Amino acid sequence: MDALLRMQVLGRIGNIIYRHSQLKTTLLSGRKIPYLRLHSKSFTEKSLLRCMNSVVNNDVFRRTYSITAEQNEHTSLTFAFRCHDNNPANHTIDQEGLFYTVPSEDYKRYLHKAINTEFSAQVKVFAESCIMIRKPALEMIDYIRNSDLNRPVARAIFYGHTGAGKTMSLCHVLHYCSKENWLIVHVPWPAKWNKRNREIAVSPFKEGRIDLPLDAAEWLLHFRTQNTDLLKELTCQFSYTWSKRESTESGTPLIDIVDFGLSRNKFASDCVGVLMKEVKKYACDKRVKVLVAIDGVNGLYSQCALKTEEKENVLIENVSLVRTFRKLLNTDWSNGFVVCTVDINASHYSTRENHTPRYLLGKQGFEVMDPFIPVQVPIYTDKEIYSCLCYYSDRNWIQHPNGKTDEGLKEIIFLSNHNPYTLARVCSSR
Amino acid sequence: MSNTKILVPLGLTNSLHHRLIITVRLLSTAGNRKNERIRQTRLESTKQEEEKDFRVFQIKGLNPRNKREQRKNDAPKMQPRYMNMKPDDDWTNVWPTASTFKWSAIPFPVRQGYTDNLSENENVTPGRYANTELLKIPNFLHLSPGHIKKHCQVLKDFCTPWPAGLETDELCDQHFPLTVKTRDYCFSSPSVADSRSRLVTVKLKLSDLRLDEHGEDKIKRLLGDKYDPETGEITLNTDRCPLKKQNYDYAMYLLTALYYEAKKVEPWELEKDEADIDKYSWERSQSKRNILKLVQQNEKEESLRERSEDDILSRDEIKSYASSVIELHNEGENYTTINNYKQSVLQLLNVKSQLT
Repeated sequence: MDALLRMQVLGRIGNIIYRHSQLKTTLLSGRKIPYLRLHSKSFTEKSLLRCMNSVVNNDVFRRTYSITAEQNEHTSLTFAFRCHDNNPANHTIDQEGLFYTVPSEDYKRYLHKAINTEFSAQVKVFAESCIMIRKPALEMIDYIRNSDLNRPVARAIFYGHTGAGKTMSLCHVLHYCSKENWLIVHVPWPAKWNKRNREIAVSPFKEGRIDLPLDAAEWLLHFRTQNTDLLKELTCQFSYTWSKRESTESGTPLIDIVDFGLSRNKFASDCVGVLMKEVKKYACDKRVKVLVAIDGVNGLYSQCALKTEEKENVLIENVSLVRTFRKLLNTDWSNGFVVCTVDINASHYSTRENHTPRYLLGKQGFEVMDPFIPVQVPIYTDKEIYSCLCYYSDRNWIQHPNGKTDEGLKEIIFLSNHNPYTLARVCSSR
Repeated sequence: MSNTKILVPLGLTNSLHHRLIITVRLLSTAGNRKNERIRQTRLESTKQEEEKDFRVFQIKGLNPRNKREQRKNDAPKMQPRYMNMKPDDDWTNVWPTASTFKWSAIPFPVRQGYTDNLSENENVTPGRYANTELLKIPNFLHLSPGHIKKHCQVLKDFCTPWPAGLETDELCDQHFPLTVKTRDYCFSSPSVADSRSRLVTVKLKLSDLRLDEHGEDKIKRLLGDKYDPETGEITLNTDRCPLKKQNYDYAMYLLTALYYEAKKVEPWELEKDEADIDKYSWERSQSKRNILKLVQQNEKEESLRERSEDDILSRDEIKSYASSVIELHNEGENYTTINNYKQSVLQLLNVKSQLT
């Protein structure tokens, strides 16, 4: 590259970085909801409202807002970004890049506990939960629709770079299946069971197994909120004896087992096992369709950092929850579909070089999952990123007038590198 | 006790601009006497300086020099050789053998070296004259095309015609797969022996040994880094014996031993596991077992009779699936191999989407 051109390019990059930092400082000095507060525990609806009020009353904000309204007409932030059909079953590829709204009761029921990402923070701030309709999710919904449910379960895996939207695609699929009245077995993030310093207990069911009573109870609650209606309908097909005095007869509704697990934490992990056994049986009998959705499935096949009281390492195969959910990945049942994601962050620290499924699953995981359908979740296309920016400016996530000009948008896109997560971080004030 | 160097300003004397460096041995016991001694030495040295004559500046060329001196300096100097060289001079006569750089015999401008700043040679890379950098580096001025031509002319008398049928390198490799490289050193010194001449290098393509799959795998493990997977060549360097002949014999022995060891199948080799094989083989993988199980489960529901393994494996979709899994493992994961895998799985599971 000749010297002059190089100087120009360097100057341009420097300019962008300088302008961006300026943009950020002005954004910060004016008003706004400091991003960090969203993550702090002290954050409440009340403090948000107070914050919003102070923003609206702020002179700087008013001026900014009035200018923006005039300028908006001249920028590319004018095309439609909302999809008014909120039923995921009706979404087609024509609606790619548009945002559809998950009704708040659906969100609370199915997705509230599902995601602990940038998205859940945004839902709080935006006071609505909108998911972008993207190709990977539509593709997966198509597979679910077209799969032969009499055959052994088909398994599919979302893979992609960190922040590309694997979890969001999974949520979209989850919403679709819940609307179709499937039974949902959703495991939000099994990798967290491998973290050290969790409360563990020795399994009462089998010697050598390790239970995670609190995590099991948390999952049971999540399972209960997602499938309340179906669990009331379905009844036990076998009878179980928990201890000398406690037992469950066949014929009791499954929700009773969930409640039992919640009240008797000691048996929570066993309850999960029992429920999965029953669910599999029901699925095989064609009584109910089951969607197994595991976010970060490679967490089930990575190393475990748990230690017993004798400071001995726990093998991941001995964790009862992991065993239970691994069984769901086998092909020995039908009338269901397994959708998973593989994520770098769910893997052990030593194996985080690559985001591809075979690498992340490892040999053991691949042998279990094989044959699976890999579905790539790519970063945003131009259409998608402009739609997202429209949404952000509509929600006042981008407030500064400079942020809404064509040049400002270009800078935001450049800084985010089309990555959905980075885009959300770049647009936030901190 | 310690030796120190002190800078003493001569404030006591009249000459304020002078400074005197005096080395004094400090004695911890005689602190008072020390100061007195210093003062005395100072006074003595200033006296001596004042007594000296005032120096006179000599202007060059003002006074006529004597004849002898003049003749010596004004004698005509020899011009460097390159000034008198013509373009059609025979270079081989100027530079007949290997020698270090001669600045005067080079008919082209050369510069080498490094200057740090403007104060050094005005920041210009030093020229050829008195340039030690040019002396350090090896030169090939004795190996110009003209030199080589002359060497060849002389050597021609000792050569025989090139054998027919070995016109190309491929033909040479085909007829003589084994290359043995030895070295001879000749120089003039009291002893003509050189320890380096004992080295023997044997080169051979692995494919020329015509081993089967097992043998190739085994010989690669036995050879270790003596086998280059990129060129497929085996290189054996032997230098453990004092004589060339002995080393050559040893290399031949090694090659023979390697060949027959590779052909042998020891009983413990049957215990080789999937992890011991460097290439992924679908035939013995879990993936194959999975597929067989899956297909048999499917078939059971459709028709009650079970199919044989070979029958299942000979199907097109299974074959393409197997090849895509092998590709995924042996070629590594990239978007192409993953997509191939995806297509074959979709075909296998009979799942369709308009979006793929």
